[in-house]
Amino acid sequence: MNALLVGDGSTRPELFFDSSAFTCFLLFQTGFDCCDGGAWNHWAIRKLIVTFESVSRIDDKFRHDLFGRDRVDSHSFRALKLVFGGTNVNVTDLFKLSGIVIVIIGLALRLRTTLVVVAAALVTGLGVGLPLLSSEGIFRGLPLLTKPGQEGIIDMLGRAFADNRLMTLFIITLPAIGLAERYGLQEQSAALIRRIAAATVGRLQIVYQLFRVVIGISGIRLNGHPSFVRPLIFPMSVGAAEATFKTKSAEEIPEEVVEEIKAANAASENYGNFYGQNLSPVQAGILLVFAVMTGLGYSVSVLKLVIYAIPITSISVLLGAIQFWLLDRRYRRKAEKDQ
Amino acid sequence: MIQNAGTIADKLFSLDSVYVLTGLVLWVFAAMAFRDRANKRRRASGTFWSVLGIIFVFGSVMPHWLTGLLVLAMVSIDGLGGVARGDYNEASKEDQIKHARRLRDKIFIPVLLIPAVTFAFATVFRLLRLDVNRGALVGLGFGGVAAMIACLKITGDKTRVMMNEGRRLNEAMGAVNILPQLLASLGVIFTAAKVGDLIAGGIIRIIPGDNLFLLVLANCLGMSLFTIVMGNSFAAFPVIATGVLSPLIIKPFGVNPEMVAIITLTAGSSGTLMTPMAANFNIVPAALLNMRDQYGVIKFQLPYALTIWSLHVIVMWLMIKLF
Repeated sequence: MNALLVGDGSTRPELFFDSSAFTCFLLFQTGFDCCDGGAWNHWAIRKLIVTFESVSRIDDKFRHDLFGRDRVDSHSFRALKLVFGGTNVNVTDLFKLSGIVIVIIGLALRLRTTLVVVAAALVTGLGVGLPLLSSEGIFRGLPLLTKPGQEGIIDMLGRAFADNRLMTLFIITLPAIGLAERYGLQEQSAALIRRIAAATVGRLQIVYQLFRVVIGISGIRLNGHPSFVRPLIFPMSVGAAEATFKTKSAEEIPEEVVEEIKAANAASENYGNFYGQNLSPVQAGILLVFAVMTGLGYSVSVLKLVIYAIPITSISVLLGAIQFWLLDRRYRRKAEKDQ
Repeated sequence: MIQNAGTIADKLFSLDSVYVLTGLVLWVFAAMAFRDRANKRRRASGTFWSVLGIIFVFGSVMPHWLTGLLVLAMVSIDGLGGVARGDYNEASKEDQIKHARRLRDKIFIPVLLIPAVTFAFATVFRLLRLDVNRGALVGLGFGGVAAMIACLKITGDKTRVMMNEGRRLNEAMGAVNILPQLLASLGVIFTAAKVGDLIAGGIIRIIPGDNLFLLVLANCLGMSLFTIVMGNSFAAFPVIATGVLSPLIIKPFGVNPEMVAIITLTAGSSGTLMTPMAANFNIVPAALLNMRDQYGVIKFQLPYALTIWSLHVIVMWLMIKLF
């Protein structure tokens, strides 16, 4: 990446990453002085007398005047406008990205997620020069930790955390669900699946995926792998496979088939869980989107988010049905060939 | 008089009242954790849940810096491994089957009450021209309470047993419970630090800013790649939303934010299906099922994930074009 140093020579120059000679050309054309005075090698430019205010003069009319035509390299133009459009891009860019790097490395190393996320927030905030605390109340004018007129990182953290309590509201549903589980909620759900379950491996996965979508719609958060897949769906699938392959015991089913059935069991849980939960306005995914988009200044409604989730959820169910139907067809043919 | 009743109803059916209720539930969990001798870190665990309770009850009136410090305290407790599980005196499988035979489908009533009350509140709020979002969330809170009452009636068990069962579920999730809240906070700090503008500036240098299809592609690809690396689509969402979706798609093209935001999130879910980093969905099940190949689940999901990911790009692009 090429770097362009921009400053008035008296203060610390701002570093501006760019790969486009067009940008320099534009700066030159708009009357900025290139102090190097040398060739148009913009890597070599050390000082450009430029203020960000004057760059904002570059509007569409000016562009037209400059080039005498409407269409210019809109790509570079947008880049310039975006970078200079009120945003001060400089050395602290590297610190801005440090938060993302911390999240990626921290989660890749499987460090404690809560710690990684908060560390990323603190480092990013401090890196771009935000104060730790707001200069208010007992902290008014506190040196080092506060800066007048700027919200502190800890204040921001507390404000955002309190504003987003709605994402953790589901805790209030846990006592009822827990007690229902003690009184056989899972057993009865299993009985329900058995009642509507189908005779083949593939159809069973389709039914289970739909069941998980319904669980998602009802707002219940559940990791189905230990509670349904292992104790219920897997044995039922093996039973269905015994019928398809006309064997008397599970041991006679080809081993690669059993392994694939296990994978299909886990997959139908994941498909149903991931895409089905977005059909409830109180599930974590919808609430996260709601909170982040609200934080970005958009007015969004949780119910509309749910409605816009419907196309993808429908596709997810359809695709799952196709994959599991193909599985059935393959097993049927294999069983016929084996005989 | 009527006005007075109106304000009381307004206070009762406010988000703050359900936050306070949730905080009280957390305090009960905390008190039980403090007394749970089977939990090796019972003091730290109890403190963690009491602090979360404090934030729930007083979050709207406490100064933000204090909430912020309490959050740091909670994260430190979790960082030091202080949030542990205890003993919940769980019902045996036989007991559960016995109860299931006796209560049959009645046991679904409390669980179904939660979404029923949630949607009822949302509908009523809509009819009264109040905020539907608030309606759904207040409904979730009161749905939880209604479910508790119904469950106690149906099972005839004690409140203490019920709260202990709630604690079992809560502690099974542990500190991960507060992760969505922390991620939303990270998003706020990223926004304040203008991280999004920087990413947008980087992408715009590769992709022409007026090519909607390529931007949609970059958005979905970025979302999945971040999810694949981090193993968590919820962590990727704030980054992509502030860095790509908002500055490069929603703002310049005047797109409905609700429509594209939720599709961006599920583009991440497609990434989750492909990554061993999402261990609890892809690796742990392979272990639970004694699979030979620990990546067997991912391999099975791969064609599905790639197909649905491509469809995300097409659906998002089409929806922007059509609506």
